This record gives sequence, structure tokens and C-alpha cells, in this order.
Amino acid sequence: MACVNKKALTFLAIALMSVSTAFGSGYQLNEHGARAVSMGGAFVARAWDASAIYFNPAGLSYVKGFNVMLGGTLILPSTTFTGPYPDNTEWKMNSISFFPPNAYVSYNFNNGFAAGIGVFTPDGLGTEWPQNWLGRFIITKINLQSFNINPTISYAFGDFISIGVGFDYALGSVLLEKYNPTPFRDASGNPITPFIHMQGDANGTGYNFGIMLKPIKNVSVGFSYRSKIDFKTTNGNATFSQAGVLAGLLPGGAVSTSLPFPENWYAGIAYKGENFSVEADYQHVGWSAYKQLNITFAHQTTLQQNSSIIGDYSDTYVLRVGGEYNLNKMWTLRAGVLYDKNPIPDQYDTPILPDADRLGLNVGVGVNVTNHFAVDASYMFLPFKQRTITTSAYGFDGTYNTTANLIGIDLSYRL
Amino acid sequence: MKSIRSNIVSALAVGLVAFVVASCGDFKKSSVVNPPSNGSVDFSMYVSLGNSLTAGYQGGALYESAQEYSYPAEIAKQAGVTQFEQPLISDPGIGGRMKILNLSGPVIGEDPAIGGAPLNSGLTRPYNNLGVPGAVLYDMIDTSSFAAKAGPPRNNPFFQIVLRSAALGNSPVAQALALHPTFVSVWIGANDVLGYATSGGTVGTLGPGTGPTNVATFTALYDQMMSTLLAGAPNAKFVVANIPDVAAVPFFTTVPAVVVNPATQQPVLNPQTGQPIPLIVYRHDASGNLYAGPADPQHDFILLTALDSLEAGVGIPTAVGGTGRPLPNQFVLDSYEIGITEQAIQGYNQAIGAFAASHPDKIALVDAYAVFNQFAKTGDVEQGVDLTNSYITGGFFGLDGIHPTSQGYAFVANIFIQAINKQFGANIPIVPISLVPSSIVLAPTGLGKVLWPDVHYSALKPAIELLQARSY
Repeated sequence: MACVNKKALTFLAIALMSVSTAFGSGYQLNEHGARAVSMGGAFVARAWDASAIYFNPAGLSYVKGFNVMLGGTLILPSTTFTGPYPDNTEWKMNSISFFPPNAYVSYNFNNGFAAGIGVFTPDGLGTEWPQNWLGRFIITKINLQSFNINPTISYAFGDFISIGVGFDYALGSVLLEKYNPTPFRDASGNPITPFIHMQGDANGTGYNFGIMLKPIKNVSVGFSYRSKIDFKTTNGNATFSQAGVLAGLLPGGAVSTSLPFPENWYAGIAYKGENFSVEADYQHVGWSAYKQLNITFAHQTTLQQNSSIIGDYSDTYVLRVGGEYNLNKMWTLRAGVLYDKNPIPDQYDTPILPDADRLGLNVGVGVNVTNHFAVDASYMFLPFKQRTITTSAYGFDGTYNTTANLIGIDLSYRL
Repeated sequence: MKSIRSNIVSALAVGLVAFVVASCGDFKKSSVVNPPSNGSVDFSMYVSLGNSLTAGYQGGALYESAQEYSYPAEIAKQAGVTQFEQPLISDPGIGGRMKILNLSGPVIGEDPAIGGAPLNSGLTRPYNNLGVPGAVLYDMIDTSSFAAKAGPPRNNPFFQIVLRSAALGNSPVAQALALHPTFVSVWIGANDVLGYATSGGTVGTLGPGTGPTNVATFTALYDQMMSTLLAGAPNAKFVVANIPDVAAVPFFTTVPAVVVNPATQQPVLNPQTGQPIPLIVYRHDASGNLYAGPADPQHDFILLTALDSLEAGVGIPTAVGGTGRPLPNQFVLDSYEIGITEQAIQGYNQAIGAFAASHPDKIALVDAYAVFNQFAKTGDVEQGVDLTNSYITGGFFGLDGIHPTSQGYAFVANIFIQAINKQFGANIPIVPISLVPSSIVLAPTGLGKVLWPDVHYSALKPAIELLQARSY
């Protein structure tokens, strides 16, 4: 036990330092457990491991004993921008990788009640472009790091229906860097393009609940809801550099912003056979909450003005299908697909967060190493639709191509 | 039981495969969006003809770091031309380059009139860029001495700098043809009306009168110039541009015709009527008679050259602290004079458009008039760079209020490229404006709140007089 606790603490420390990227549409992440991921994320009606805390808290009552689950997803994205439209110059996003972690602990009281706590990263974003690139006046680097701490309880009314509810505390940070255009050059002929670095810690709160039904033999139905979280900076600060003679007009200083983590609901239906199960889910993402991100300076000058990044997102959805097959007591094979519809209208699809509809192809394996210890691994290939923008509000027309490889692993310990 | 299960698994598997196969088409990367191509245009010898706009003149001077970004140089670069020779002049150039000395104001000054020297004068053939600052249409075919134009009344040194010797060709058109061009751009005629307009209608192109070049004369000269070019380079393709509206240019639109509080930049209101107070100016009535009276704030343009006088209280009624003396005619392009200006521009553009339309296989037309008017209304954003026609802050026009910045010239290059692409089935890549360096010279000795621009007439004078010189 002591050993497990120490592990959990170490893990939390990693979580605090981790960087995240958006690999659900928008700046959402949907990878919160290797078992679920390897089945296309279709898990709301079968949330039968400790990651139920994320997927459907009602499932927690069906997870027996004391469970610890630790893992994460290694995300390896690759994005190019070709433009300005209709030109063929290709710009490559800096190669970066991310490892959003997940950690779950649950305990079943064997009287219908179960309780748990989860730490995971439902929203995050990281893009970094070369300093001298075509879009440097739009973005060179943005980094939204967050993790949620999600204490949860559930109650099962026999085998037919269970409910669960949780409280969500999100904390993290926001970072944004870019160059600002000016009409000026200095006396020695160098263009004056002040560089801004904005950074701040941020937090927000929300809640979640879920319900799971087993109306007929072998069939389960799940529904879960996660509320919107307003993620607000608490101590944001801006600094300008390379401002040359304009430095006096760009003092930087306190800056604040806020962005929503969208509400989500999942509905799914699963069929469980003797040694297999399959599921289909619909996930609704309330992206219409993101209209614009306002950047507000405490101190303003002629040049240092408030600004906003308009998003004007629409609500969207993810379709998920997947299943698993128990080869024997030790090995389980899994596969799934997902289709993730992006929420961003053409005119606001920018290199800040280049988005497009994606297709996720998932496979995975589960290994019961002992009766108490299991390893789940997942692999997802996530191609984005090639997206050509010709109506950019930033005058940034061109073609985006993105693919990502996501490798997940979770270690589960059960008592 | 076993078979049911297998069927379900198989069905699921088949479903997955079908979904993946159906979706994959959309997810395959097609790397080439549009391959670059010069279409039916042969760029092996590109020559550009025109005036200061073609030369790459910026902020009252012609200098190397601006010429590098002239629109013909940008077009050449985008089309893959490796040898595009320009009459480069070392910084800060010739003409008296304007610069911001103090952002508080801002106060604008200038470099010496002869601050640089020609760098490329040893070239033994004509330059590819034959744009001559201050040239009017007639200069394109005028075979009189280049050196003579450096003396009175024109005092324009650029004919000698750009054209050098009659041995290379005794006119810009002759020099262009001497290069046996395969492609020619022509943007000429703006100075035929700008001399009149920038002088508030006091100086004409056709001496001794004070009007813009007569439209019939312009039409005849334009036809003669283009016919000479077409005959001399029978296999060449051409792109020609028409003349933008003065109402799109900050030299004319920056200074309002009402009294402005310099501290707040807001109009001073008449306490009785609550209305802004018009400046007192010399202007014309509808029949063309000059009189002193209140400006028509809706229609009259007060020129950028008026700022010194306004600062001295001229044009400002005594009731609000001015001298009550009317602003001289040379600082005002009133509605009557705007009518004459517009009529000339419309006439010139009719001539340019008609000539281009009669040779669609040879000539692409850039409708600069329409593009600049649209730009004046909406501005433009290019890769996160906002451009408007506001003086200084707009980023498009330089400190003389007439000539574009390097980024403005890149925009011009792009409208030429778009016209070429359309007419000749080409796909020349446009210039990415965010990669063009900003170019308004800021050499300040002080900072502060950006207020009313303080542009001294002495700084603008060389640029303006160049446009106002009579040629014939």
C-alpha cells in the first residue's frame, strides 16, 4: 500500500510538469485510459475500470475492490502549413511530443457505494512554429497546460442501474508567444517587430455525473455529462522584447484571459458476450462556448492594447465504435475507430490551433500479468482531413495537413 | 451461440473496414496545391515602365533598401527572374528620405536631398526597371535630353539616373525595346493628374494652364506609347495598370477640413450648433470662381502639406484661436477641383482599359482604381499584418502620404501577379506580405502618445514638387 501511495505522489508531480496538446478537436483531449482509447474511446456504457472516473462515474460501482491505475498517452503530432494559398511553400510545425498522464484510484465499499479520485488532462494545447515563419504575427507558440482533479462517488441500485457524480477542479497554465507587426524600421534598417510573451497560471471548477443501465441481459447503456469549466488566469504577466525604440510604449505587465473547457456528454450502448464486448458511443462537445479569447492588459498605451482571438466555434460531436475480445484469461485484444468532427469555422482556423475532422484508428492489448496487476496498451493513428482555407480572417489562407500517432499505456493494480 | 458471436465480431470487423476505406480518400494528403507556373508568359526579359511607383520610391526618396522591394522587383522574384537590374541608389538615397524623428507628434524630418549615390551605373545595357520618379505619360516617348530635365523647370534628377544616356535608347520606351523584352509592365499616368491634385489645383501638367493632362491628349499618347511597344516587341506579353483614385490616398484624406483639437485629435465643436467648425479656406464655387470661405467638410480635401500652416493658425477661425486667414488654395483640393481630378482619372482609365481590352491575348489589365478604392474602404489583412490607408499607422503608405511602403508595394505586386495569372493562365506565387520588412523609418529622439502628425512642408516639398513639375 505504502508503495502504491508513493507512486501516486510521484505521478502527480509528473502531471504537474506535463505539457499537453489538443488531440480531440478544438483544444480537447479524449485520451484518458489505454483500455478505452484502444476501443476508439467507446467506453461510456462499459466503464468497468478505474478510468470510469473520467468516462462514466456510474461505472465505478462495478469496479471491485481497491484499484490504482496509472498511465498516459504519448502524442506525436506532425503538422504542415502550405501557403499562402495558392502557393506551395511548406512550413512545418516544430516537432514536439506530449505526454498527458492519467491517474485513478478507486475503492468499492461493496454496499453499492464506490468512491475514487482521478487526475487527467481533458483540455490542453501546444503548438510551436519557427520564430521566423510566415505566421509569426499570428502565433509562434501557444501552450495550454491543465489537469483536472476529479473526486467521484457512485452508487449502484443492484445490477440494473447505477449513478455517479464528481467534482472537477482544473488547474494549469496558459502561455502565448508571437511577434507584433509595426509599420516601422529602425535607423539601421531592421524592421521593428516586438515579441510578446504572455504567461499565467489558471484554474476553474466544474462537475460531472453519469448513469449506467443494464435493461436486458448482455446489454448496457451509459450516459455521462461533464460540465463546462471557465479556465481563468490568476497571475498572468506579459513581457515585450525586441521592441527597439518602441519599448517605452510596450511596458507589458499584468494581463488576464479566460477560456472555456467545453461541456461534454456521452451516450453509448454496449453488448457483452461470453468473452467479448462491443460498444458504440456518441459524444457531444459544447464548443459553442468558445466565442473568443480576450487578452486584457491592466496597463494600456497607444500600442499596448487589449486584443482577442476569435474562435466562434460550433457544437460538435465524436462517433466512437470499438470492442474487445478475451483471447484467454491473460490476453485481451481491442480495436476501434472514431470520427471527430472539428468545431472551427474556416475563417478562424489558424496556426494557433489548426483543426480539421479526424479519423482515429485504434488497436490495443490488455495483459493480466497477475491477478492483481494488469497492463493495457493502445495505439492510435489519427489522420486529419487535409483542410484548405481560403477565407481566413487573418489573411492566412493555405492548406493544413496533420497526422498524429498516439501511444498509450496504463498500469493497473487491484486488491 | 458461438456462431452468433462470430457473426457479431465479423459484422463489426467488416463495418470498421468499410468505414475506414470509405473515409480514407478524404484523409490522404495531396501535397501539391497548385504548382507554380508562368503560364504563357516568357519572363526571360522583363522590363518595367512607369513613374516613382514603379521605381520603388518611398517616403520622398529613391534608395536601395526601398528599391529592393519595388513591385517590379517583387514580380520578377516571384516569377523566377534572376537578372532584374535596377538603378540602385545607396541609402538614404536621393530626394530627401523622410523619417520620424519623434513619435510624440509625430515629428517628421528628412535625410539630405542627396544622401546616396548610384550603385549600378556601370551597367552597359538599359535597366530592367525603367520607372522614373516624376515621369508623366509623355515622358515615356519623349526623346528630349535627359540631362535637360534635371534643370529648370523640372529639376528632376531621375531621368539621368535611370535612363543615363540616349545611346541606350532616347526614351524610356526606346530603352525598353532595346532590351528585346519578352514581358513588359506599364504603370504610367498617375502624375498626369497628381501634379494638379497635390498642388491643390494650382499647378497643371500641360503648361501654361493649371489642369491635369487633357483626356484626349492622354488617350492619343497612351495609344501611341502602347502601339510603339507592341510593334517593337511583337512577341511580348504586357501587363498595364490604371490610375488609383486620389480619395484612396492619405496625402489627401488625413487632414480633416474642420478645426481639430491637437491634444485630443477630436473636432472642436461649435457651442451654438454642436457641429464641427469648418476651416477657412480658398476654394472654388460650382462655376469655378475662387473665394475665401468655410471649407465643405464633406467634400474638400485638406492636403498633408497644410499642416505647417494649420499649426501657425492659418485656416482656423479667430473664435477658436486661429489667425482667421484663409488656408491658401495650394493646400486645398476643393470639391470643384476634385471634380476635375476625377474626370481626368476616369478619362485616363477609360483609355488604358480600352487599349488593354482591344489586345486581350497580349495585355493583362490591373484595375488599380477598383482595388485601391476597395482597400480604402476595408483595408486588408495579410498573414496577420493589418494594412489600411491611414497615414503612418496604416502600414501601407509611407511618410509622404502618396507612395507605398515595402509592404504596400508587395500588395501592388500581388495585384499585378493576380492579373497576369488570370489573363495568361499562369500561377505565379503571390508575395507573402508578412515576410516583407516594415519600412517606415523610425529614428526617434523621443517617444510619447501618438498624436497629430507634424509633417513639415519642407520635408514633403521635394516629393511634391517632383510630381508638380511641368513637362511640356
